[in-house]
Amino acid sequence: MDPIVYVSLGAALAAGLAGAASAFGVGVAGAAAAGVVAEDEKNFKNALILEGLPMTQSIYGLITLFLILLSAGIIGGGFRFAEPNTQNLIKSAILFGAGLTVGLTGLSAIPQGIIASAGIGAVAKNPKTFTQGIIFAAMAETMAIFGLVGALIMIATGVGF
Amino acid sequence: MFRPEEMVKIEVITLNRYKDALLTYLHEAGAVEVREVEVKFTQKDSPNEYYRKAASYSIIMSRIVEFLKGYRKTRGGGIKEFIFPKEKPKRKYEYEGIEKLIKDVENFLGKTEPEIKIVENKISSIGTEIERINELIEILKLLSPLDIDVSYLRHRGLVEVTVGVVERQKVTDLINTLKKETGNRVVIVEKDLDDRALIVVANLARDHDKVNAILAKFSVERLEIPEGEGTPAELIRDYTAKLEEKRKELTKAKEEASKLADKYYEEVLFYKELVDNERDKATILPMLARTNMTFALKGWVPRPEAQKIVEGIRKITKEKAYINIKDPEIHEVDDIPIKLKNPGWARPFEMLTEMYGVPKYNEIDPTPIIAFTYSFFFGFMLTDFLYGLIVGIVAALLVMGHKKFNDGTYKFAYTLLWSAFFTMIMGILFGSYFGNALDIVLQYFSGNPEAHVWRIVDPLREPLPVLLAALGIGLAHLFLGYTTGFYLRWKNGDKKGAVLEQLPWMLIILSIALFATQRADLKLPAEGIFGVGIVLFAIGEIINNGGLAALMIISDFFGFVGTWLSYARLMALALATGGIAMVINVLAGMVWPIKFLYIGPIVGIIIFIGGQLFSTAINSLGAFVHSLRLHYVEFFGTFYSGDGKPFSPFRAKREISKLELKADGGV
Repeated sequence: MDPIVYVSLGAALAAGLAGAASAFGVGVAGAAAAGVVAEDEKNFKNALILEGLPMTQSIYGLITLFLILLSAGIIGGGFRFAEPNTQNLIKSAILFGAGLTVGLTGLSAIPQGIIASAGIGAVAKNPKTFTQGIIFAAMAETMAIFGLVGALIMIATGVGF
Repeated sequence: MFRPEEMVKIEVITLNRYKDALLTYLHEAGAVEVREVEVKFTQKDSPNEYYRKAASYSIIMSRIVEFLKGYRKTRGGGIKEFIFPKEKPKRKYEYEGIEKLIKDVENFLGKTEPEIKIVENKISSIGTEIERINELIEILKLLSPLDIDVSYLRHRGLVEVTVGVVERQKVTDLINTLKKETGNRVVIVEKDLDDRALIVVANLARDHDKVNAILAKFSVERLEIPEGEGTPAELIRDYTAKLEEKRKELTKAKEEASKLADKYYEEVLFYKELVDNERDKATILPMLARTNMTFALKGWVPRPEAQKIVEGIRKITKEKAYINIKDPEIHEVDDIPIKLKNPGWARPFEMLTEMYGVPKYNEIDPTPIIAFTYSFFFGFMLTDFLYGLIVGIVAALLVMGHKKFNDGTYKFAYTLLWSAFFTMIMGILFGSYFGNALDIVLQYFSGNPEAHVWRIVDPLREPLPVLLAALGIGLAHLFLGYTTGFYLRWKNGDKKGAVLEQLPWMLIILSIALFATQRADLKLPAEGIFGVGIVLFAIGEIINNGGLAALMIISDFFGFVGTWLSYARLMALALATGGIAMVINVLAGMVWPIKFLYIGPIVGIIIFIGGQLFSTAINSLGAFVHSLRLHYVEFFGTFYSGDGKPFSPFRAKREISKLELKADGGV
């Protein structure tokens, strides 16, 4: 494969997978949010914040996409690895790996949405559980954060800017 | 600081006739947590008639409040009211005992309730009337294709007229069946409405049963023909005029309601607060023990307030009371309620500790530590001078506006203010001002594409030093936790636990720190300390888990590694903030060069400001959540149980009322 394929696949998988997972997560939580708001409009603020939690993964994906494009020179200048030599192949494959890591760990947005939706139900019954609900949902995000840490190290040390 | 407030046990026995006055005094003082007197074979008290009345008046007034609230002219509101809310004045009430209070409430309700009820009933009956007229108009609209005097449609006599609506595809069948069953002695008029049809059936009265059965079989929906004479169009006109009249009446009635709300709303709230407190006061009656003449009460009171409470009780009971103050005994540790005690600067952070759970009486209150570490972690994860400034300004305004209330908003804003301070410092260290926005400005003016503000390290280009810093901070944080745990367990007599469960991790962390220095002369001591730590850890696991030890050693060790690595989120979130800010800057930069009609700069500025504000909000939320998580999950896991029972004193809720106890305590 040409380096450009690796690079664009990496960027696409990072933002694409994580974004799709976030959409799932927000969808699950949003359905619960709509329900509790119908019961009592006062739940809106709390439900909205909890619903927004699974969105973070798509942001991690987007950052990774930008960093991959920046590192490969697609943003700001020209594509740095156009020549398909070994060095360029290695670097672009690393970028592919970084993107895939963030994309796959971004799938944690789906369970996070499920937790958030349960949290929304709990908050409607007892508003005092709001912070606890956020913390429970944040647990699922840990994997996405680890994925981002890994990807950042891969991009910065393996390829550089 | 570090210790919950000291508590003492209070026991009181006094005469029954002082009961109401004493309970009222304690309720207003709000310093005693009352516990059940566990004496077998004693009588328990239950709420008397007055307390029951208080409960029922409270329900009546809730209903009135609910009604008046809807018609109150809303004033204030908005963002200014949120940041700088006004203090509600407290109205005084001279308390002379519950009988007098109930009488006062009855007087008030006797005066206001009928007045409010009249308007309430008026509004609801006009509402029903309007609804009815609307229904009639709907029916008349259905009848309008007929264009005859509707009084014919109500006709009863030798010939009966029925009007109804039926699904269109059933009409032909219906007509045929009717004709057949009545031997053609029926007249049917049919008019098409969209997917249904209006039918008018005129039949002989003797065929009534037959026709009715057929109409039911074809599910014909009968229409109730409105009163009055004239064609449907004429009647619609009449009814519309009537509707208009009713609407005017409704507006007038609502105006009356809003006048009543102006007049009585505050007062109803005031009396409601009075009876609510009486009702709540009755909840502790079953906890008291009583004889024919006396009653006994026990509870916990913070030591600094004990003296004042004792004096108060003596005064209320005119010295006719047995009062005993005792220090807690060791076996009561789990039973003592916990009131956190911190200096003013750390007090708002108690909110974070309480959210997880307060410490036990013999544990350490981590609030002062959290004040620094929570704010620092928040700052590390947000890491942007200007984001910190925005958060800081909002927090400072809220702190100023809410200080006098000492409410949840004040406490949260105060923690945010500290966090904003650390955010700004970290922002300067990492040279982040709306991400790389300041760099871009510098590069533009200096013409040097490499120009940038001062920074220790650029986290986006060199994330490794930031990761190492995050892990180092995590190690220090965990070390603090394990050391605190070691100290606590040792002091509370669990020396085995201290040495086998806390010390090993302290040693392992120390050795990791020594390894990290990468100095050859420290390598041997590091290995030694690590070895001792691992051996102690393994011994602890074998003693605690016996046969399962081998499994637990592996699982707990990697558990520790996982906990440690969890601190990597400090770096990830810091970079995420910088990354999002950079993405916004890049987007704004992309549209900037569009020269046509200045669209580029205008849209660019909108993207820049909107984006950065959004980024501030979302990253602050992330920083808040993950900083809290690092404390609740990782840090508290090393030493803190949070199993204490929070101090919940027997206390009146006074927002708009203030009791003035008469000198003799209302006796």
